[in-house]
Amino acid sequence: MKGGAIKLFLVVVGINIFFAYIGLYFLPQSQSLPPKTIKIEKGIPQDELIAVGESIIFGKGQCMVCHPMKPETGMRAPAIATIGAEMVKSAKERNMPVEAYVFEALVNPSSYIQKGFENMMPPVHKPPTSLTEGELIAVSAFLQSKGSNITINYPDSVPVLQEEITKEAKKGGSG
Amino acid sequence: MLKIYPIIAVIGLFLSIVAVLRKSPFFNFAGLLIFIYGLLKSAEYIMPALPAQVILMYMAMCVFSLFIYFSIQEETFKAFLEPMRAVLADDNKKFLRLIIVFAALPLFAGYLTYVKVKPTYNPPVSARIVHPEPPSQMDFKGKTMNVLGLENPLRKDTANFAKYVEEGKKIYYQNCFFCHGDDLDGKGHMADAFNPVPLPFRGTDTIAQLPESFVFWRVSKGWRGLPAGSGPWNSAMPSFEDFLTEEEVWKVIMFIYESTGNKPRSW
Amino acid sequence: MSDVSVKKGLAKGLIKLTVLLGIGFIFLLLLGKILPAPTEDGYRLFPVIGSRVWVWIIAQLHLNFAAFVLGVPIFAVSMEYLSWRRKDDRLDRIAYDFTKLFTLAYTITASIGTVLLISLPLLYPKFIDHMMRILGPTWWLYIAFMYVEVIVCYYYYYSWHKMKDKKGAHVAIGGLLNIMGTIMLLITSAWVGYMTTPGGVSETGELVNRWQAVKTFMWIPLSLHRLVANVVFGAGIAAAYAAYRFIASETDEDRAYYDWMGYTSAMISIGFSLLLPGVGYLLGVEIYSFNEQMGIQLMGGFFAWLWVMQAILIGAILMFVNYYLWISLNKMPGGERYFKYVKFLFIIMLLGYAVWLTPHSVALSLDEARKMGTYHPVLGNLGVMAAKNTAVVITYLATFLSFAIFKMSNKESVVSWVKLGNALRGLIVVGSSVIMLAIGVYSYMVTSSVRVKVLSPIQFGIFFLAIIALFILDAKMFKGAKIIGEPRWGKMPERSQYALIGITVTFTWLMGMMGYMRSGGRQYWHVYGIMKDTSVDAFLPTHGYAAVITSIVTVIFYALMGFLFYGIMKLEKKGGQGGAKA
Repeated sequence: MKGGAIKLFLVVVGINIFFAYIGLYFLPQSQSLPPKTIKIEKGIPQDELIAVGESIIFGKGQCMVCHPMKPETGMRAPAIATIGAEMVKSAKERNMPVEAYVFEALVNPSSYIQKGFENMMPPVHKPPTSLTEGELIAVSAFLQSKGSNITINYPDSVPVLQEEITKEAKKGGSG
Repeated sequence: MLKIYPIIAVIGLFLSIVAVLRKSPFFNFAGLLIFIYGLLKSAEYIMPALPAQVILMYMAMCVFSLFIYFSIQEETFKAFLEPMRAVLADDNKKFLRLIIVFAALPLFAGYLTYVKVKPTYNPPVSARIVHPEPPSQMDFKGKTMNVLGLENPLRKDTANFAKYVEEGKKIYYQNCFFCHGDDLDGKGHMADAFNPVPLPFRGTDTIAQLPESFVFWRVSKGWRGLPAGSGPWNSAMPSFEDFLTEEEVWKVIMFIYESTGNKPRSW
Repeated sequence: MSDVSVKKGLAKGLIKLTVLLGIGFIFLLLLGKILPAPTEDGYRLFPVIGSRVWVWIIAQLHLNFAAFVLGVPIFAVSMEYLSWRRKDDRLDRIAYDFTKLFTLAYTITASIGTVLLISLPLLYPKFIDHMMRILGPTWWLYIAFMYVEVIVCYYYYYSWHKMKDKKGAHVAIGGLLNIMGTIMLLITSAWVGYMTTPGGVSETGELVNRWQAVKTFMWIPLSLHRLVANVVFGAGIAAAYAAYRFIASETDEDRAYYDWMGYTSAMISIGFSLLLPGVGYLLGVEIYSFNEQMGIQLMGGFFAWLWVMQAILIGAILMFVNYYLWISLNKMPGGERYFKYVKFLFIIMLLGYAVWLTPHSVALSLDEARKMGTYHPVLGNLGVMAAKNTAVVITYLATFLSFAIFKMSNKESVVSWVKLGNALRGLIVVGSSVIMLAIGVYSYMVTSSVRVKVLSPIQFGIFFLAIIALFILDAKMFKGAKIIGEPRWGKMPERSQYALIGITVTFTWLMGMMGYMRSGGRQYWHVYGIMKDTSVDAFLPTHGYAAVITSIVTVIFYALMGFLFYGIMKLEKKGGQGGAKA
């Protein structure tokens, strides 16, 4: 049969145009941009620091991938909305300063797991998330703002943070 | 309101049955599609209407699948194509052909153009968060309060419970009733003037889902307290901290829970 | 082909490969000197379309062809083995036709590979430097195996007629060919595995343990997934080839043969595709255990909507397959008895498809959003995994039933327990469907980890048990059955062949899309967590953009395939070989 090949090729092109059409007009169109590094000045006002922390939680930190905002059944990780209060409680239980506990939870999360959750959180100061010191402090301040007094600021809290990071690094070396 | 979609569905079904009896797959195909469309559209009488996008998707799938179905057997497929062939080729269908070419197709194209260029007044879609996250702390007339874990102090005083509810009722009728309604169903006198309409307190999806602290925050702060994601510009709720005392707000909250039979969420 | 041509053919293959590699390296050296130095962070920009799109298209094309030349030999050899054991010449001819296809496809694969070989180091010098530092030796190994593979492949093809009497040895060579192919697949999968789930390096990207860098989380699951998908894809292409030849053929004899070839290839393709959800599941598990974040991002984050797209595509594939099988009933003497069941199968397929493509959250107009919120109270329930998995297993079961009906449509069972057998068959079908539905409903009530780790595997397990039981039952029932008449091969309407083409094109598109997702899962990293992508293309494009590129790749692929098919037909005419006379 003559022209069969051309007809077949038209069918192929047609199917592909159809799929491209579905992709273009049926699926939501948004891009996923790489995160930008946020510059945090020394002595940044607390409310600005918290706002930066919030943007990291939703953006670069990708925390919302696992952490829900409000508590819900079957959640993978503790909810953000009440996390400040929870951390104060746990810090008291473990008899350590709240600031150190908050930082440890970020850079060395496997050292203490809240009851009912699994050990799955990566240390966020390491790649792929790679938060900087300033960013870690902004995130911590934001977490504290969810139900407890905010005691963390930039740059006064840097030494405590660095101590936790060194602890984590040591642990990584030995095991 | 005339329920037109079930009628469309019935017409489609009827067409399809007649087509089966007269062995005309093409009209069976058309009838089935009309029937399915009517059925999908009539879903809105028993549940929220199906989104237009989903109906479009289902219809596209049905056209594709039914076409496949009617082309399985050679005779059926021939019979299926027959009406189209007849319209295109038969001598006695000349008039029909003329109508289709010179009237139906231009009209259809005109209709599509009309739909495309007709101005619409729908604002762009923005998903509105109805119950946003409250801040952890708020300021009530200069007094700092922790919203999270805030408890109704009047609940502890169980002896005076009925009295507080009664006082709350008075406050409700002096302040809230105009919008939220006599029956607490969100259908007050002014309700129709607002978009979105005031929230009803009856039912299980508004205050029954919320802790009292949240309601306290919403009543005290009104639209001003809403974050951007909830579109404060769309809310007409006043900040009642300007008009009521702390205790009055708690009383009215007790009243709305009590009279709708809802319990505040406690977790 | 005469005896001389074995040596000649081998020489031709080796020269071709060497020339291509030579061209690659020379161009690499020359262009590296001529082109301006790369930017500070290690990139050169491809003109007009940009480096990413260029490499994307070339790599996907190379992958498609590679999938083809690795997948087809697997069952070409199986066919040859069967023909040797069963003394069936038709099988031998089909195997030879496949071999012709992939031997010719080698040249195209290698040519595109050469383009990739030139492009990557020139456009991404820093990244390739890193890859060579970590996995360099595997690359030289790869080239070595390429030579062995070409020798084995060309020998296998050119010695086909010469070794007619030594079939056993010839099949063994074919087996060797497949082992070589699998090794090459393992090597390339190691590269991709390292990029996505790196291991064996320090945080700054210094090599710690090369074996660890090869043996990453993704390595084996990805290789398995690719191996199975290659068979599905290769068989699909063979079916498309048969469809093309069927439509283009001029004699009834040819039509009968290509009809049969199309049918056989399509069934192999679909049969192997049953394994894909399982291997895909394994791959998913490994990605999750490497990094939860990446897993969730792939399954439910940015890529969530592409899974709806995947549902649309697989639904279309299954619809095409069923359509093909239903049409095939026409050519079976006695097939008309079974048309009455087609109606029910069709309704089940339609409902399953509808459930499958219902999205969880839907694009809404403001008016709709006001009435129901983001999730539709009823439709939202159909959009979650519990419903989708159930729909998948039930549509797959329906597809298997279509196949079973086709198989038995020209037979009449003669065993004494026909009634019991039919009742048993009904029981298996209804029973397994009910259990699968019940599990589906139950999975709404449990947490996601139980659903994923316990209930879904059980659901798929029951599905496999059901089809195995049906398969055994049918084999017993139709042992020595009365045959009403031989299938009238070739008596197929042309539109059935378009269904075959549709299956293959959809599958190719799906492969392109899944490849994009696998690659996009790394987000803004060249090597996830080790080496950042700092180029202008570090972002993930919109789904529409990705869909357009995937379509372009697929069209180019089929254009090249068209040339290949055309070339084979030319070759046959010239040599007077192949065709119906071989």
